[in-house]
Amino acid sequence: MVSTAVSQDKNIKYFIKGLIVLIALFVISPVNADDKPLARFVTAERFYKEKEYKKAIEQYELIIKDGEESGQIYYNLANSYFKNGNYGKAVLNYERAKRIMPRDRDVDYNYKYVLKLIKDFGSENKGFMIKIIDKFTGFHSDQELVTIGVTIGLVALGLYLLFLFMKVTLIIGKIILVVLSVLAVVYMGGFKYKVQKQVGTAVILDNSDARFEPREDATIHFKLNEGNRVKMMKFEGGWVKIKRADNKQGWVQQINLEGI
Amino acid sequence: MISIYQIKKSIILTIAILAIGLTINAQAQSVSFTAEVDTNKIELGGAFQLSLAVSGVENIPGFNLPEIEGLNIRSSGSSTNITMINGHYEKSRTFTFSLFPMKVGFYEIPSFTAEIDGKTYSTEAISVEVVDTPGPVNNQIASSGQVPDSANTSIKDKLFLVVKTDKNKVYLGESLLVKIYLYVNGVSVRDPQMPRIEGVGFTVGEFDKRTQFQQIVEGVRYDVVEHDVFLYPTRTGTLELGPIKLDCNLLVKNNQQTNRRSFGSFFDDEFFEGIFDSYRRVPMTVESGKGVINVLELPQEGKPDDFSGGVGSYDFNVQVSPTDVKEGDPITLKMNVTGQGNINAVNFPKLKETNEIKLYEPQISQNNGDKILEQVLIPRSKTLTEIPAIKFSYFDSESGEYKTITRGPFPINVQEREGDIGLRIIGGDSKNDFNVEEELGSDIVFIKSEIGNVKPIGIKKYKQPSFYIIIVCALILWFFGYVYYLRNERLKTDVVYAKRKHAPKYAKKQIAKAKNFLVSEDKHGFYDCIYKTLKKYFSNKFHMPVGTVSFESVIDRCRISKADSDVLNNIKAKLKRIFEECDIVRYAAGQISHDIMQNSFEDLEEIIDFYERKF
Repeated sequence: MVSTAVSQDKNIKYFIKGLIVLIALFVISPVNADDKPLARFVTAERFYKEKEYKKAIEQYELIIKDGEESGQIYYNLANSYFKNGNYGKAVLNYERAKRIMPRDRDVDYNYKYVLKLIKDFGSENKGFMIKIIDKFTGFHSDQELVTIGVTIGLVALGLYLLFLFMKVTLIIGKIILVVLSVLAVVYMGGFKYKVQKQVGTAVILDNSDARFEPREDATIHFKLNEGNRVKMMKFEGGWVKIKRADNKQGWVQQINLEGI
Repeated sequence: MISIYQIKKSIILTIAILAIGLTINAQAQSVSFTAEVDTNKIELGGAFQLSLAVSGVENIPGFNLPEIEGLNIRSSGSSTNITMINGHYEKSRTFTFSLFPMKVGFYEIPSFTAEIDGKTYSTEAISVEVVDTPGPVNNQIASSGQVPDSANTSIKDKLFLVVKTDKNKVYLGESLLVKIYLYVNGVSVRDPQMPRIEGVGFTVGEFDKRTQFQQIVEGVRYDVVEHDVFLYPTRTGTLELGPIKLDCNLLVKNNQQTNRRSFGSFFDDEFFEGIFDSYRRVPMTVESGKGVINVLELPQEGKPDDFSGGVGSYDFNVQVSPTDVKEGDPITLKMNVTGQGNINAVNFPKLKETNEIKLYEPQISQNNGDKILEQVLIPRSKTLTEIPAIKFSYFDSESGEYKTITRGPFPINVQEREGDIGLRIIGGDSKNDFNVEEELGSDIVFIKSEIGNVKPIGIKKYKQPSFYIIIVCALILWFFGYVYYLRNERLKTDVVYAKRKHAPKYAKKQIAKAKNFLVSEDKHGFYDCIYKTLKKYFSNKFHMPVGTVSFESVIDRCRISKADSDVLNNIKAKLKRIFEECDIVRYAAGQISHDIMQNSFEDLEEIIDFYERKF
């Protein structure tokens, strides 16, 4: 009787070990669900090289339709749109790529390149402070901002506790804490600012007219060009009230723009 | 009884008579050619009608009157009449002419001849008298007391053009102001057109609005219509100006003759004069005389190299803004030329593009007497300290000299720019497309070959609950750490607090020890331990020196609400007994049994518990 009990024990042990290994593998191994995006990506690259831009666009859009995205996919898609002559869609996708990879030089260069080709409406002379804030928030993605901000904040708290326990009263310690706290606040504030700025921004896809009211027969207030970035304020019956960089507001038909 | 033969005869007779009658009739229509006027005497400013009638001819050709001096002749058409007189038909054709006399006096309308069917017919000559208009329009008698000589008055005294210029010597390029006055007296003018200026060697500008006023010239009141226009000579020399012509219509009363024809002779009576007046319009062209203009060439001597072409009197102004810029920022330069003269032909001075200044296409606009040039320029480096002075040269026609107006130089402050000069869009509504010179590569960068980190769309790490959970956990950890720290600190600084917290721990330890003594029946050890425990416990708990601990002093420290006094009494009793037992065991250990010890042990625990709870 004893020997079977022991062997049973052993079996159970092996079983548990195996289960643990399985779980570990599952947790540790990279979650690579689909190969389809990669296949499409590569196909699109081939089309792009052969100058079949419409087909490349199709491939990238399929990836996105499946619900997957990456900065590179958006960038390539934007390039393809640009080559195909859709400046509006190009700007739109560069914006999307920028949100994921804000410091990518290629995205930045191409984005600026396209903007030069469309008639943009200069924003009012923004204050010096706002320019700095924009530059700062433009450098980081929203995720980065919040992660860094929170991390610094926690580190500051931890250091504080540490200093308490270790009875560190040096001025330098205090300075470090203050600096870290300020940084944390700055990053978190920047995160809030960026999210707020990003929400409801759209890119105009076709040259269209912004009217005073959401009706076809309303008077035209001003014109919008393909590629202009606007902020969406209100929606009404297929029309969107948008605000331009120079703060002019008007109603545009929803089909003429797309949110970033 | 009439026989058939008779009837036949009468029929034949009737037919014969009829036939003869017809032939007689056919031959009876005679040819006539007459001339007639509707009135022999009219006033100057009126017109009379001449009617030439030809009858008795089948095909009557058209007629053209020869010219008659002093009469303005216009054809009014022709009409054909067929009348029945005495049983036979007469066909006639009448040609009417409207004759408008230009002067007072006697006119003779000559006889006209016409050849019809080989025969020559002529009309009789007609005399017509034209007199001056009478009446209150003429103030001559009132003012000068003299009866004017109206015998020589012509229509030209009643309706004429006067042309005045501000100068008869102009320079090529200068403008010449011409004022045209239409004087009207005693006639009704309708539909006056714009004056036509004929002449070679100048272009006619636009006519200003016409003005109307009244003027008395040599005692006669005239209605005057004024037109002003600028002329621009296009070549030098002596130019003939004029004649200037003005077309209009004169309103002419229809004469009584015409009225009679229209309304019948019953209304011929003076009584009806004026009631049935009808008017017709007679076209008229008023002419001025000719004038001479001398057009001079601009002198070559003293002509500046940068002569703008302006002739007249001008003022020149320049505005530069902003004057404080960073390199690469645009500056707008505005030149303004105002004044009298050929402003259309004025050329603006040209700025020079240098290493330090980049120029863009200027925009020129004009309104009324102002010509404006706007030009954008960009300083290329901070070494630019000023926009050089700008000169405007024109020819002052009054003084006959070339004049130069200098504006500037304009000091500029250019600051360095750090970083790249990005795209400068100069002016949101600018019509110009500026060439961007910055780093415009010829194409965009190629696509990326790595797909990167593919994530589902819309999933944001910071929106996930796990993100928040981690943060919250960290905060909680920190919070505990902090609390721990505080507690430690308190323990270190607050001795009383520390001791009090320490008391039960110690007590618990000792109780365990006491248990051991109990088990091993070590009475002395047991009570020793208990005694020590109680003393230390209360010392810690109530912060008393160990030596002062006794039943009394402990009780002293307890103040409890009345509600608990029962329990307290119970505890007190127990406490008292234990203290006593501690004493008893010293000298009468035999009295203490195991049960008593057990009991006391439990009581001790109870006491400690109680004090822990209540204090």
